[in-house]
Amino acid sequence: MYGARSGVGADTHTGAEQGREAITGPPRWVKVFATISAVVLVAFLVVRFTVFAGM
Amino acid sequence: MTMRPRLRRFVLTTHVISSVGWLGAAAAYVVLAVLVLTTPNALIVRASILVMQRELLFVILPLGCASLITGIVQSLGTTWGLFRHYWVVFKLLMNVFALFLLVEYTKSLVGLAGRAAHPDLFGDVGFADHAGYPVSSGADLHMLQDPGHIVHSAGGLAVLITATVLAVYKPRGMTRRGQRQQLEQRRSQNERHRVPQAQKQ
Repeated sequence: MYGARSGVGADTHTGAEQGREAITGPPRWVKVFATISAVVLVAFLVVRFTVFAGM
Repeated sequence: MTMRPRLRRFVLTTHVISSVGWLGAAAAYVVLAVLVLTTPNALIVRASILVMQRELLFVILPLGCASLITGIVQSLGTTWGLFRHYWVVFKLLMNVFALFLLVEYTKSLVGLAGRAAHPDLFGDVGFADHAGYPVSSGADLHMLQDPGHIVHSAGGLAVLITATVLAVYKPRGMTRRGQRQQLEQRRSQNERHRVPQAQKQ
């Protein structure tokens, strides 16, 4: 999120996406990141509300 | 609505200061949490808990709130948008989640610090270890040395590092909403170009 002069505010990713007219699904990194985040979140919540329920 | 460059730079600077400050304060908090869990010295545990409480209330929590608010303002005031790019959405979710847990943890730590500040806390302080430090083997020390300190602080630090990496690398990928907005903008731009050309003919 940096300004238009330094590339911030300017959409630096649109160049690769300009050719696409149809709406596409999420890229691979999003799926991987979302899966890892979900697993870590569930593990954290289980630990938080079982082992450390008193905190 | 796009912010003017001067305002955008100001909000960005505030966002970077609050976010990086939050990260640094969280790292310092991890060190204190490790100290609390590893030292046998009851007085160091008590002092650390009181320092941790003040750090949470007066440094970490305000910086976290400032980071969230300035991040939302920054994204809404630039072409990045709040829900246009996946990395912005992930950062927002992580920030909200970290702040929620931080508030929950702060509530419990304030209670713990209140008990740590009580003069009668370590009734059995008076024994000394091999280095001459006072040691408490009682339930009070066990209560203060809750492993939850390290779980929350290390977890929070990991979330903040991930958010920083996302902010720096800005991995590509637009959400469906972002792509729709982009298509609409492109269409409206094309129509604007077509009208003058038709008038020339």
